[in-house]
Amino acid sequence: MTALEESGAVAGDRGGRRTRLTSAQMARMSRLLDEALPLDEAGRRRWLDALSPVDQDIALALRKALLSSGTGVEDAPATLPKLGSDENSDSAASGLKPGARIGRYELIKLLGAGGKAEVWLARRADGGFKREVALKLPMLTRLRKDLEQRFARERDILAGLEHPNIARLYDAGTDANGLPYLSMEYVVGQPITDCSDAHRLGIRERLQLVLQVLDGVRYAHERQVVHRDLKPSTILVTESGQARLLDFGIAKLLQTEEADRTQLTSVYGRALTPDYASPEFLRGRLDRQRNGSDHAATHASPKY
Amino acid sequence: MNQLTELLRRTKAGDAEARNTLFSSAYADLHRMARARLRDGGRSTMMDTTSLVHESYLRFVSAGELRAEDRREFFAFAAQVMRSVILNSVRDRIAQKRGGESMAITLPTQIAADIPDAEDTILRIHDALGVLEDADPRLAQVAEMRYFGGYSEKEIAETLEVTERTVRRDWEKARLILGEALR
Repeated sequence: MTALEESGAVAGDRGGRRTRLTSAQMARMSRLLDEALPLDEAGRRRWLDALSPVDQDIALALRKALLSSGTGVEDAPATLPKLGSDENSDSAASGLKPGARIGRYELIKLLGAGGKAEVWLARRADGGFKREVALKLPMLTRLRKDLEQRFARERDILAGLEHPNIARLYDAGTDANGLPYLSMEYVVGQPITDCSDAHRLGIRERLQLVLQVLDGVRYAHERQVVHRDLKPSTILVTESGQARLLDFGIAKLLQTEEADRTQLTSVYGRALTPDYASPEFLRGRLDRQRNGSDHAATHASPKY
Repeated sequence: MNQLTELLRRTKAGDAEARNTLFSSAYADLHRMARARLRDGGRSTMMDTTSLVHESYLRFVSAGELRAEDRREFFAFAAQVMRSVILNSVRDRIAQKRGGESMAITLPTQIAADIPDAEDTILRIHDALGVLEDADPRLAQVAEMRYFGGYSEKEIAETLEVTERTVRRDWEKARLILGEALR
């Protein structure tokens, strides 16, 4: 069996066990949609009423497709399924392994990885505090020499944020290869949405969590720091029910070089999370962005 | 030298054997990277797979196994690989659940928990896409790149050598058809 067949993605698996349209019906639907999609709603209704008797088997499907909004098929799976560990489980995409040194830190284990960053559990390796930290290692981002000062300035501002609802940024710097790292408080908790659902929280308790979030956001805004990427996965709730905002200001800190390139729409894709981004952010007015950005996110988050 | 380039060329000309060989050789690499990258779920969104494909492509180019001109074919091909990586992981996951094995790999960190039934949706879309492949191959290819590859409209347009407008229209149609097929 070749890898191609084994994968099942290209060959085989065409049974369409739970698929309600045959390929012949899909082909007809595709052709008919070409006619109907350019029409406005009234036009679509007239077009549907005049549908030929031979197409009655797909009339309902066409009606739903043309007259209702939302298809149930999103742009892409919202979250990919986790993969079980395998023999390569110690190898991160970055090629780093536990025990490796990054700046002053020694990596302990990989906590999570995305296309933009890996997060490792790490500890100080230079005899400083033995505290364990979450070490965020952005990928594909090398700081430009002339931006290092700016990076340091931003870092100092962020490190100055001390609030019970904000995860601390301890330190940030660049490693031997000039790649930035961020050392942050290691928060053990669940995203706010999952936590609320898992504990079947009522409206009052949910609102109390949101109030904690707003408390942290207000504190940061008073210090002119905008989060820029508030969403459930950056709002964790600890075992004791305390909401902690992660990555405060990090988006801006790391934006330094990318913004100079093609304004967040470089080949590596959009850096923000569209569902939770504020309208002015999506319009690309990064320079004139005000604190309102984070408010849009706190309004959007409870929906989920 | 340029082994992948040659395989891509023959694959494009319809050589099924070349396609299989190509798939096996690049598959291992993409698959390993995808697993390393996606192992913890949550943070890994489709946006990450497209950057993964970019990285992998650049690696092949710098290793001399691909020419820069092969970008298009490689991207079309990589979307298929991504689809199979995702499918395999979904199947593993479902098998694990059915086996009653607890999710010991869940990490109590800033990693979003999984969305219930996400696996089932992905499997059903994969099935429906299989039917659409017979009905309208280009529509299916756009949907594959968009849904499983996570490519942008621009990337798809460049890969298929059509306009972005065409890609948008195709994706809208594909979504409507797939949506109805799954209803």
